[in-house]
Amino acid sequence: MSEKIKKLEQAVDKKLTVAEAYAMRPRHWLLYTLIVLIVVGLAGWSSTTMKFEGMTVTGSEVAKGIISGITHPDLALMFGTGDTGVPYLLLQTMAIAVLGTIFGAILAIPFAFLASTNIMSKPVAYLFRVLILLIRTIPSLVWALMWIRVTGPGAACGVITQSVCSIGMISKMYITAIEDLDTRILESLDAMGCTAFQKIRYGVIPQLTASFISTTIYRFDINLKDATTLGIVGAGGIGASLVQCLNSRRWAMVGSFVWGLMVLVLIIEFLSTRVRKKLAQGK
Amino acid sequence: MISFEHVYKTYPNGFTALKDINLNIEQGEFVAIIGLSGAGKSTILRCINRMHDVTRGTLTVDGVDVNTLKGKELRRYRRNVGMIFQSFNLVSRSTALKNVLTADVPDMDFFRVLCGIFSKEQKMRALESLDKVGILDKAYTRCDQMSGGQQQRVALARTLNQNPKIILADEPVASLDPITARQVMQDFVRINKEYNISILLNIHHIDLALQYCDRVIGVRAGEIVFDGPAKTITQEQIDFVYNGTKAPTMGDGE
Amino acid sequence: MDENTSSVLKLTWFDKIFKPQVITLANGHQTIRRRSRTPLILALVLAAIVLSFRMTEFNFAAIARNFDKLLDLFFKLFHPKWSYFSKVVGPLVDTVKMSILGTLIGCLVGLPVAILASSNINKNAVVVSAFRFILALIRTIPTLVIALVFALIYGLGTFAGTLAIALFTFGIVAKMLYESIEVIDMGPFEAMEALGADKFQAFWSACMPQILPVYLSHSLYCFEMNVRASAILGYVGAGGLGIMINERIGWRDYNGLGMVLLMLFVVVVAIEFFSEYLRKKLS
Repeated sequence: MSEKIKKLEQAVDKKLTVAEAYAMRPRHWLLYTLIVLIVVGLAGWSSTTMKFEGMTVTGSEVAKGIISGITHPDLALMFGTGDTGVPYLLLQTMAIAVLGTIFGAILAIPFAFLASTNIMSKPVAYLFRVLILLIRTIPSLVWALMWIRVTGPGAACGVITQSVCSIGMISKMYITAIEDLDTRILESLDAMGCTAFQKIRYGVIPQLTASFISTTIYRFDINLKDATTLGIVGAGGIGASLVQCLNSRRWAMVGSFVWGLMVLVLIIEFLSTRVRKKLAQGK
Repeated sequence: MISFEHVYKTYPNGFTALKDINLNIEQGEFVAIIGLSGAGKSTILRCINRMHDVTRGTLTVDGVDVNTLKGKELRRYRRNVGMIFQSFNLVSRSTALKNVLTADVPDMDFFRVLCGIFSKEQKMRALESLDKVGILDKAYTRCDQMSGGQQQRVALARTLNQNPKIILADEPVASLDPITARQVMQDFVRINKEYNISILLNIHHIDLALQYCDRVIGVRAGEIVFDGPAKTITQEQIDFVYNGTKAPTMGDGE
Repeated sequence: MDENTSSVLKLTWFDKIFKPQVITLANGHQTIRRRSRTPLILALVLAAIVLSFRMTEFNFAAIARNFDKLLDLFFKLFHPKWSYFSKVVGPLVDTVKMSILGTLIGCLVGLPVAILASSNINKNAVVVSAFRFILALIRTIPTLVIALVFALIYGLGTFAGTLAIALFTFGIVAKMLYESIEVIDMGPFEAMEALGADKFQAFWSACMPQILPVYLSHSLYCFEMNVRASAILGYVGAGGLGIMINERIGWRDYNGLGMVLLMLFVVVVAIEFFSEYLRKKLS
């Protein structure tokens, strides 16, 4: 390598000819080939476990059923007002996400401050980071299965599961906000004669609220989607009914659940993006 | 009146920033402190409101020995000394009015501070402060949507709102463009004359200092090497302050 | 001056209901203050919380009462059954393989679609919004439901899981990518067109070099997520670690579950570190 540099320096000294410059071109192709080889190798290695055995006997029937369900949803269920109707179940799913997100957002605050390197000493901060990582790694479904032992099946299990699962991501984003704090404001408050408490109230909190709220709304978006999944293990919401109908092949009902879910998630995603954009730019 | 008597300042790392400073500034003076970076300009300002401690000598403001102040007394003293920074130091996500209102915070009781409750008089006074610097119409605009000059004016309004006798300004125009810098300097002149507030400012741009300030203090390596009216300073004296290097100017902004 | 400010002030529906306040100072100068939205927003959030508590029947007392069950469960989780190691390796490798292959397929399909869904490159607004809508729809359906559907069609096993991950990755990667493509510098593209290149040549030589690093970075990020997501797909029979997790919880073998989760944690953290390192190098 150093020999190459020496050569290059000499070349610069005596004015490079085109041919010489060409000879010294960087050779990226080796790196690129290596990357491609690795990716292809990984793909080949991972496809060894894939056993494609064609469709199951009922496979085509299932596919047809789903298509017919989506094109001909069960309208009575879709607009039904009872406990089993789509509107009620969607509302319940939303209720799970609302409470789960708010509890999670509150629980994440102490975690975030304890894991910020500009507030706590490094060992403490890293200890809490590992803890946050642990919470994040356990899949939400597993959390739900554990909490169900405490709350019993139902929406309450969904709420507590989401509260815990949200801590991981929310505190990770809080930490970024805390570590980006502008400390110069504290200096000017100091010069004005503020106490430590006054400095936190008027120097730190105003800087954090907007980004904390924005994070919480973003997480609500995710939790809403996640809440539909939790139903599968019996944690309330629309998921349970959806999976039941899928397993018992009542396609029209599947169709109405899927429609309800899609519309709700799309609306919430749209609203959340808009509100967050407004928060970032200022009202 | 601010008076320095044989003031020395040595930082914990052993660097001596101020050597035997003797200085008297009367109420209502408009003083520019000039000198190279690291000459001790900021240290002089920061000693006045005790953001830094003086190592040796005495510094008195209106007869009070600043170095003896502690805790509550110190905070009460700082209420009378406003400070302005190069980087504005505003909460950029809050409105201009909210930033100006923070000047009232040290005098409020715990509950009001916690909940952020400000009385109508406080709000009106804050609006008047914004009016004094000519940005009343931006009162409800968030600071991150304002230009640098507007932000520096919000900072100035915040300082005015604490009703200071002295304003210390640490490079207030260094991050502004030439035209805005001149406007902010004019604001300073107006406030100095109308409200009889003493203003001390550190400034890099010698032309602005000579044009707007009454008195110039030249600092070189921690010592005062020039002190006199802005009108009488000569080019040799300026060169001496700047150690022979060329003095920076803002140029002809207009 | 007051006329000036009122013309600048854009009135929204909110300001029409709650009229802005005009404040006059002692010297006659005026300014206009909009009514604060905070009370209204707070009231709405509070109403949502109350409603959510009702719908989910969430109460803290029940959780506090049964909390010792969770502690007992945690105690067992933190004493993993080490002998279980050899049984976990197989499904864990399957999970990783599923996510590798799924991510690869999803990302490969995602690239062209993302380009077609970028409004700065594809000038056909109808095609752009059509692709975006399809992507949004795909993202609304929970991965687990997609996996269940594929498991019903193609039979239980890793194949269904891989397909589910591929579809899910496709939805996310394409969205993240078209958002990034829309902010690239179009100057080089214009320069290429100016010197006589056709649209494709200009795109390939001016835009691709900007898109590729972002694309790789997004792909790695999705891979990180997918390892975590695929761990639970087995719950609905789509292969990998999920089956094992389901089984252990069903038999209340929490020591065994602890071992499964520990190994998942190690693999996820290792992959996350590696991918974060690569992503840092890319940017």
